[in-house]
Amino acid sequence: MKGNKKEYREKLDFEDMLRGVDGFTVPEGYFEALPQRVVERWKQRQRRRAMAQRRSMRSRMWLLMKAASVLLLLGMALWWWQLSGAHSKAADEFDAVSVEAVIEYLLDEGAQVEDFVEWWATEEFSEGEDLWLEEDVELWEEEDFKMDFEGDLNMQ
Amino acid sequence: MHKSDAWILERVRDAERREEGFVALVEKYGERLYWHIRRMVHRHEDADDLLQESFIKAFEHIDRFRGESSLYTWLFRIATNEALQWLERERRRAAVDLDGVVEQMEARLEADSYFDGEEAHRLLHAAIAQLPPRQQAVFVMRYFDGLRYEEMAEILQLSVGALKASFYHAKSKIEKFVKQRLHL
Repeated sequence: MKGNKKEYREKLDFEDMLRGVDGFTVPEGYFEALPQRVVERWKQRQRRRAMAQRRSMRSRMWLLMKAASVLLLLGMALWWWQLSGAHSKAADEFDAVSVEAVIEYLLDEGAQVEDFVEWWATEEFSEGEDLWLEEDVELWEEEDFKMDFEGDLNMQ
Repeated sequence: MHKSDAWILERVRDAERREEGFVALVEKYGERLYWHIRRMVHRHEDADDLLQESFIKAFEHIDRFRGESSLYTWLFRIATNEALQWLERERRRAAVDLDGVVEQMEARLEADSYFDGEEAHRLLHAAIAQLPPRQQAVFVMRYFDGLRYEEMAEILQLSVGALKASFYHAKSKIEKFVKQRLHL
Protein backbone atom coordinates (compact mmCIF):
# COMPACT_ATOMS: atom_id res chain seq x y z
CA MET A 1 0.00 0.00 0.00
CA LYS A 2 1.58 3.20 -1.13
CA GLY A 3 -0.41 5.76 0.89
CA ASN A 4 -1.28 5.51 4.56
CA LYS A 5 -4.70 5.51 6.14
CA LYS A 6 -4.31 8.84 7.87
CA GLU A 7 -3.25 10.61 4.71
CA TYR A 8 -6.06 8.95 2.83
CA ARG A 9 -8.60 9.87 5.50
CA GLU A 10 -7.62 13.50 5.19
CA LYS A 11 -8.22 13.35 1.46
CA LEU A 12 -11.49 11.53 1.71
CA ASP A 13 -13.59 14.43 0.48
CA PHE A 14 -14.58 13.04 -2.89
CA GLU A 15 -15.28 16.43 -4.38
CA ASP A 16 -11.59 17.33 -4.13
CA MET A 17 -9.59 14.19 -3.82
CA LEU A 18 -8.49 12.30 -6.92
CA ARG A 19 -10.51 14.52 -9.22
CA GLY A 20 -9.28 13.91 -12.72
CA VAL A 21 -6.69 11.44 -11.41
CA ASP A 22 -7.74 7.87 -11.87
CA GLY A 23 -4.48 5.94 -12.17
CA PHE A 24 -5.27 4.74 -15.70
CA THR A 25 -2.71 4.94 -18.49
CA VAL A 26 -2.76 4.05 -22.19
CA PRO A 27 -0.18 2.42 -24.49
CA GLU A 28 2.37 4.72 -26.09
CA GLY A 29 0.96 6.50 -29.17
CA TYR A 30 -2.53 5.14 -28.60
CA PHE A 31 -4.45 8.35 -29.29
CA GLU A 32 -2.35 9.25 -32.33
CA ALA A 33 -3.13 5.91 -33.99
CA LEU A 34 -6.78 5.85 -32.90
CA PRO A 35 -8.42 7.66 -35.87
CA GLN A 36 -6.82 5.35 -38.45
CA ARG A 37 -7.68 2.26 -36.42
CA VAL A 38 -11.32 3.28 -36.05
CA VAL A 39 -11.69 4.10 -39.75
CA GLU A 40 -9.97 0.84 -40.72
CA ARG A 41 -12.33 -1.15 -38.50
CA TRP A 42 -15.32 0.68 -39.97
CA LYS A 43 -14.17 -0.11 -43.53
CA GLN A 44 -13.57 -3.72 -42.61
CA ARG A 45 -17.09 -3.90 -41.14
CA GLN A 46 -18.53 -2.46 -44.38
CA ARG A 47 -16.58 -4.94 -46.50
CA ARG A 48 -17.80 -7.82 -44.35
CA ARG A 49 -21.38 -6.57 -44.57
CA ALA A 50 -21.16 -6.24 -48.35
CA MET A 51 -19.80 -9.78 -48.60
CA ALA A 52 -22.59 -11.10 -46.39
CA GLN A 53 -25.15 -9.31 -48.57
CA ARG A 54 -23.63 -10.80 -51.73
CA ARG A 55 -23.66 -14.23 -50.11
CA SER A 56 -27.29 -13.88 -49.09
CA MET A 57 -28.16 -12.66 -52.60
CA ARG A 58 -26.41 -15.71 -54.08
CA SER A 59 -28.22 -18.08 -51.77
CA ARG A 60 -31.51 -16.38 -52.61
CA MET A 61 -30.78 -16.87 -56.34
CA TRP A 62 -29.91 -20.49 -55.68
CA LEU A 63 -33.21 -20.97 -53.86
CA LEU A 64 -35.10 -19.31 -56.71
CA MET A 65 -33.43 -21.57 -59.25
CA LYS A 66 -34.23 -24.59 -57.12
CA ALA A 67 -37.87 -23.50 -56.86
CA ALA A 68 -38.01 -22.91 -60.65
CA SER A 69 -36.58 -26.35 -61.41
CA VAL A 70 -39.05 -27.99 -59.00
CA LEU A 71 -41.89 -26.13 -60.75
CA LEU A 72 -40.54 -27.21 -64.13
CA LEU A 73 -40.40 -30.81 -62.98
CA LEU A 74 -43.94 -30.56 -61.62
CA GLY A 75 -45.10 -29.06 -64.93
CA MET A 76 -43.47 -31.85 -66.87
CA ALA A 77 -45.01 -34.46 -64.57
CA LEU A 78 -48.43 -32.89 -65.06
CA TRP A 79 -47.96 -32.84 -68.79
CA TRP A 80 -46.93 -36.48 -68.77
CA TRP A 81 -49.91 -37.34 -66.60
CA GLN A 82 -52.23 -35.67 -69.06
CA LEU A 83 -50.70 -37.51 -72.00
CA SER A 84 -50.80 -40.87 -70.27
CA GLY A 85 -53.68 -42.95 -68.87
CA ALA A 86 -55.44 -40.43 -66.73
CA HIS A 87 -55.97 -38.08 -69.64
CA SER A 88 -57.21 -40.72 -72.05
CA LYS A 89 -59.64 -41.94 -69.41
CA ALA A 90 -61.07 -38.45 -69.15
CA ALA A 91 -61.26 -38.23 -72.94
CA ASP A 92 -63.08 -41.56 -73.09
CA GLU A 93 -65.67 -40.27 -70.67
CA PHE A 94 -66.16 -37.25 -72.85
CA ASP A 95 -66.55 -39.40 -75.98
CA ALA A 96 -69.00 -41.66 -74.16
CA VAL A 97 -71.24 -38.72 -73.38
CA SER A 98 -71.15 -37.59 -76.98
CA VAL A 99 -71.98 -41.04 -78.36
CA GLU A 100 -74.81 -41.44 -75.90
CA ALA A 101 -76.28 -38.11 -76.97
CA VAL A 102 -75.99 -39.02 -80.63
CA ILE A 103 -77.62 -42.41 -80.14
CA GLU A 104 -80.45 -40.86 -78.18
CA TYR A 105 -80.99 -38.35 -80.95
CA LEU A 106 -80.97 -41.02 -83.64
CA LEU A 107 -83.50 -43.10 -81.71
CA ASP A 108 -85.74 -40.09 -81.41
CA GLU A 109 -85.42 -39.57 -85.11
CA GLY A 110 -86.79 -43.06 -85.75
CA ALA A 111 -83.71 -45.24 -85.96
CA GLN A 112 -84.21 -48.85 -84.85
CA VAL A 113 -82.16 -50.64 -82.25
CA GLU A 114 -81.36 -53.25 -84.91
CA ASP A 115 -79.63 -50.58 -86.95
CA PHE A 116 -77.29 -49.91 -84.09
CA VAL A 117 -76.58 -53.59 -83.59
CA GLU A 118 -75.68 -53.70 -87.24
CA TRP A 119 -73.44 -50.66 -86.94
CA TRP A 120 -71.67 -51.94 -83.89
CA ALA A 121 -70.85 -55.09 -85.81
CA THR A 122 -69.08 -53.08 -88.51
CA GLU A 123 -65.40 -52.43 -88.36
CA GLU A 124 -65.93 -48.72 -88.92
CA PHE A 125 -67.95 -48.23 -85.71
CA SER A 126 -65.76 -50.37 -83.56
CA GLU A 127 -62.86 -48.05 -84.50
CA GLY A 128 -65.11 -45.12 -83.77
CA GLU A 129 -64.40 -43.48 -87.10
CA ASP A 130 -67.87 -43.04 -88.47
CA LEU A 131 -71.01 -43.02 -86.41
CA TRP A 132 -73.06 -41.15 -88.95
CA LEU A 133 -75.52 -42.30 -91.47
CA GLU A 134 -75.50 -40.40 -94.71
CA GLU A 135 -78.88 -38.83 -94.10
CA ASP A 136 -77.77 -37.76 -90.67
CA VAL A 137 -74.74 -36.05 -92.14
CA GLU A 138 -77.01 -34.11 -94.43
CA LEU A 139 -79.23 -33.29 -91.52
CA TRP A 140 -76.22 -32.16 -89.46
CA GLU A 141 -75.16 -29.82 -92.19
CA GLU A 142 -78.39 -27.90 -91.84
CA GLU A 143 -77.58 -24.96 -89.67
CA ASP A 144 -80.83 -24.92 -87.60
CA PHE A 145 -80.51 -28.52 -86.63
CA LYS A 146 -76.91 -28.04 -85.61
CA MET A 147 -77.91 -25.23 -83.30
CA ASP A 148 -80.75 -27.25 -81.72
CA PHE A 149 -78.53 -30.23 -81.21
CA GLU A 150 -75.74 -28.23 -79.57
CA GLY A 151 -78.35 -26.60 -77.40
CA ASP A 152 -79.54 -30.04 -76.28
CA LEU A 153 -76.03 -31.09 -75.51
CA ASN A 154 -75.45 -27.98 -73.45
CA MET A 155 -78.62 -28.66 -71.53
CA GLN A 156 -77.23 -32.03 -70.59
CA MET B 1 -5.95 22.30 -34.00
CA HIS B 2 -9.25 20.44 -34.12
CA LYS B 3 -11.78 21.06 -36.87
CA SER B 4 -15.14 22.62 -36.08
CA ASP B 5 -18.27 20.44 -35.79
CA ALA B 6 -19.72 22.12 -38.90
CA TRP B 7 -16.58 21.26 -40.90
CA ILE B 8 -16.74 17.66 -39.72
CA LEU B 9 -20.47 17.28 -40.39
CA GLU B 10 -20.17 18.75 -43.87
CA ARG B 11 -17.59 16.09 -44.74
CA VAL B 12 -19.21 13.06 -43.12
CA ARG B 13 -22.43 13.80 -45.01
CA ASP B 14 -20.58 13.86 -48.31
CA ALA B 15 -19.86 10.32 -49.57
CA GLU B 16 -16.70 11.48 -51.34
CA ARG B 17 -15.12 13.11 -48.28
CA ARG B 18 -16.69 10.98 -45.55
CA GLU B 19 -13.47 9.31 -44.46
CA GLU B 20 -11.74 12.65 -43.95
CA GLY B 21 -14.66 13.74 -41.75
CA PHE B 22 -14.56 10.55 -39.70
CA VAL B 23 -10.84 10.89 -39.05
CA ALA B 24 -11.38 14.47 -37.87
CA LEU B 25 -14.27 13.36 -35.65
CA VAL B 26 -12.14 10.73 -33.89
CA GLU B 27 -9.22 13.14 -33.59
CA LYS B 28 -11.44 15.69 -31.91
CA TYR B 29 -13.47 13.55 -29.52
CA GLY B 30 -11.59 10.24 -29.29
CA GLU B 31 -9.55 11.02 -26.20
CA ARG B 32 -12.39 12.51 -24.13
CA LEU B 33 -14.70 9.64 -24.96
CA TYR B 34 -11.98 7.11 -24.28
CA TRP B 35 -11.47 8.35 -20.70
CA HIS B 36 -15.19 8.42 -20.10
CA ILE B 37 -15.56 4.79 -21.20
CA ARG B 38 -12.37 3.67 -19.49
CA ARG B 39 -13.54 4.98 -16.11
CA MET B 40 -16.69 2.95 -16.47
CA VAL B 41 -15.23 -0.33 -17.71
CA HIS B 42 -11.69 0.08 -16.32
CA ARG B 43 -9.66 -2.24 -18.56
CA HIS B 44 -7.90 -0.60 -21.51
CA GLU B 45 -8.75 -3.41 -23.96
CA ASP B 46 -12.47 -3.20 -23.14
CA ALA B 47 -12.46 0.59 -23.31
CA ASP B 48 -10.64 0.53 -26.66
CA ASP B 49 -13.13 -1.94 -28.11
CA LEU B 50 -16.16 -0.02 -26.84
CA LEU B 51 -14.75 3.28 -28.06
CA GLN B 52 -14.26 1.94 -31.58
CA GLU B 53 -17.75 0.42 -31.55
CA SER B 54 -19.19 3.75 -30.39
CA PHE B 55 -17.53 5.61 -33.25
CA ILE B 56 -18.61 3.03 -35.81
CA LYS B 57 -22.17 3.32 -34.52
CA ALA B 58 -21.90 7.09 -34.83
CA PHE B 59 -20.55 6.77 -38.41
CA GLU B 60 -23.39 4.49 -39.40
CA HIS B 61 -26.09 6.68 -37.89
CA ILE B 62 -24.67 10.10 -38.61
CA ASP B 63 -27.65 10.77 -40.93
CA ARG B 64 -29.90 10.60 -37.86
CA PHE B 65 -27.99 13.38 -36.13
CA ARG B 66 -30.33 16.36 -36.42
CA GLY B 67 -28.18 18.89 -34.60
CA GLU B 68 -30.71 19.25 -31.77
CA SER B 69 -27.86 18.65 -29.31
CA SER B 70 -24.15 19.24 -29.81
CA LEU B 71 -22.12 16.62 -31.64
CA TYR B 72 -20.19 15.97 -28.43
CA THR B 73 -23.37 15.31 -26.43
CA TRP B 74 -24.62 12.96 -29.14
CA LEU B 75 -21.36 11.03 -29.20
CA PHE B 76 -21.22 10.98 -25.42
CA ARG B 77 -24.70 9.47 -25.33
CA ILE B 78 -23.71 6.70 -27.75
CA ALA B 79 -20.53 5.95 -25.78
CA THR B 80 -22.37 5.94 -22.43
CA ASN B 81 -25.02 3.57 -23.78
CA GLU B 82 -22.35 1.25 -25.14
CA ALA B 83 -20.55 1.23 -21.79
CA LEU B 84 -23.78 0.71 -19.82
CA GLN B 85 -24.83 -2.19 -22.02
CA TRP B 86 -21.39 -3.71 -21.60
CA LEU B 87 -21.55 -3.36 -17.80
CA GLU B 88 -24.98 -4.96 -17.66
CA ARG B 89 -23.85 -7.79 -19.93
CA GLU B 90 -20.76 -8.38 -17.81
CA ARG B 91 -22.79 -8.46 -14.61
CA ARG B 92 -25.19 -10.99 -16.06
CA ARG B 93 -22.35 -13.09 -17.46
CA ALA B 94 -20.32 -13.10 -14.26
CA ALA B 95 -23.41 -13.58 -12.08
CA VAL B 96 -21.54 -12.71 -8.88
CA ASP B 97 -22.69 -10.81 -5.78
CA LEU B 98 -21.40 -7.36 -4.83
CA ASP B 99 -18.39 -8.76 -2.98
CA GLY B 100 -17.57 -10.75 -6.07
CA VAL B 101 -17.78 -7.62 -8.24
CA VAL B 102 -15.38 -5.77 -5.96
CA GLU B 103 -12.93 -8.68 -5.80
CA GLN B 104 -13.03 -9.06 -9.57
CA MET B 105 -12.38 -5.36 -10.02
CA GLU B 106 -9.45 -5.32 -7.63
CA ALA B 107 -7.90 -8.37 -9.27
CA ARG B 108 -8.45 -6.84 -12.69
CA LEU B 109 -6.77 -3.57 -11.73
CA GLU B 110 -3.93 -5.48 -10.07
CA ALA B 111 -3.29 -7.35 -13.32
CA ASP B 112 -3.83 -4.34 -15.59
CA SER B 113 -0.55 -3.17 -17.06
CA TYR B 114 -2.22 0.14 -17.96
CA PHE B 115 -3.10 1.01 -14.37
CA ASP B 116 -0.49 2.59 -12.17
CA GLY B 117 -2.75 4.17 -9.57
CA GLU B 118 -2.19 4.01 -5.87
CA GLU B 119 -4.10 1.88 -3.41
CA ALA B 120 -6.54 4.74 -2.92
CA HIS B 121 -7.35 4.79 -6.63
CA ARG B 122 -7.82 1.04 -6.66
CA LEU B 123 -10.17 1.27 -3.72
CA LEU B 124 -12.13 4.06 -5.37
CA HIS B 125 -12.56 2.07 -8.62
CA ALA B 126 -13.60 -1.00 -6.65
CA ALA B 127 -16.16 1.17 -4.83
CA ILE B 128 -17.47 2.49 -8.15
CA ALA B 129 -17.73 -1.04 -9.55
CA GLN B 130 -20.16 -2.09 -6.82
CA LEU B 131 -22.67 0.59 -7.91
CA PRO B 132 -25.52 -0.18 -10.30
CA PRO B 133 -24.42 0.66 -13.90
CA ARG B 134 -26.51 3.85 -14.18
CA GLN B 135 -25.18 5.21 -10.90
CA GLN B 136 -21.68 4.40 -12.10
CA ALA B 137 -22.27 6.45 -15.23
CA VAL B 138 -23.62 9.39 -13.23
CA PHE B 139 -20.72 9.28 -10.77
CA VAL B 140 -18.05 9.02 -13.47
CA MET B 141 -19.56 11.83 -15.53
CA ARG B 142 -19.81 14.15 -12.57
CA TYR B 143 -16.72 13.20 -10.63
CA PHE B 144 -14.12 12.42 -13.30
CA ASP B 145 -15.45 14.01 -16.48
CA GLY B 146 -16.56 17.11 -14.58
CA LEU B 147 -19.76 17.48 -16.59
CA ARG B 148 -22.47 19.88 -15.48
CA TYR B 149 -25.80 18.39 -14.42
CA GLU B 150 -27.49 20.04 -17.40
CA GLU B 151 -25.09 18.33 -19.81
CA MET B 152 -25.55 15.02 -18.04
CA ALA B 153 -29.33 15.43 -18.21
CA GLU B 154 -29.08 15.86 -21.97
CA ILE B 155 -26.79 12.85 -22.38
CA LEU B 156 -28.64 10.46 -20.09
CA GLN B 157 -32.05 11.98 -20.83
CA LEU B 158 -32.89 12.25 -17.14
CA SER B 159 -33.96 15.24 -15.06
CA VAL B 160 -31.38 17.31 -13.19
CA GLY B 161 -33.10 16.44 -9.90
CA ALA B 162 -32.88 12.71 -10.60
CA LEU B 163 -29.20 13.06 -11.47
CA LYS B 164 -28.42 14.99 -8.29
CA ALA B 165 -30.14 12.32 -6.22
CA SER B 166 -28.34 9.58 -8.10
CA PHE B 167 -24.97 11.25 -7.58
CA TYR B 168 -25.70 11.74 -3.87
CA HIS B 169 -26.57 8.03 -3.45
CA ALA B 170 -23.49 6.95 -5.40
CA LYS B 171 -21.22 9.18 -3.31
CA SER B 172 -22.71 7.92 -0.04
CA LYS B 173 -22.27 4.29 -1.07
CA ILE B 174 -18.67 4.92 -2.08
CA GLU B 175 -17.86 6.69 1.17
CA LYS B 176 -19.44 3.88 3.17
CA PHE B 177 -17.52 1.29 1.18
CA VAL B 178 -14.16 3.07 1.60
CA LYS B 179 -14.72 3.57 5.32
CA GLN B 180 -15.56 -0.10 5.77
CA ARG B 181 -12.50 -1.20 3.85
CA LEU B 182 -10.17 1.09 5.76
CA HIS B 183 -11.87 0.23 9.06
CA LEU B 184 -12.48 3.89 9.77
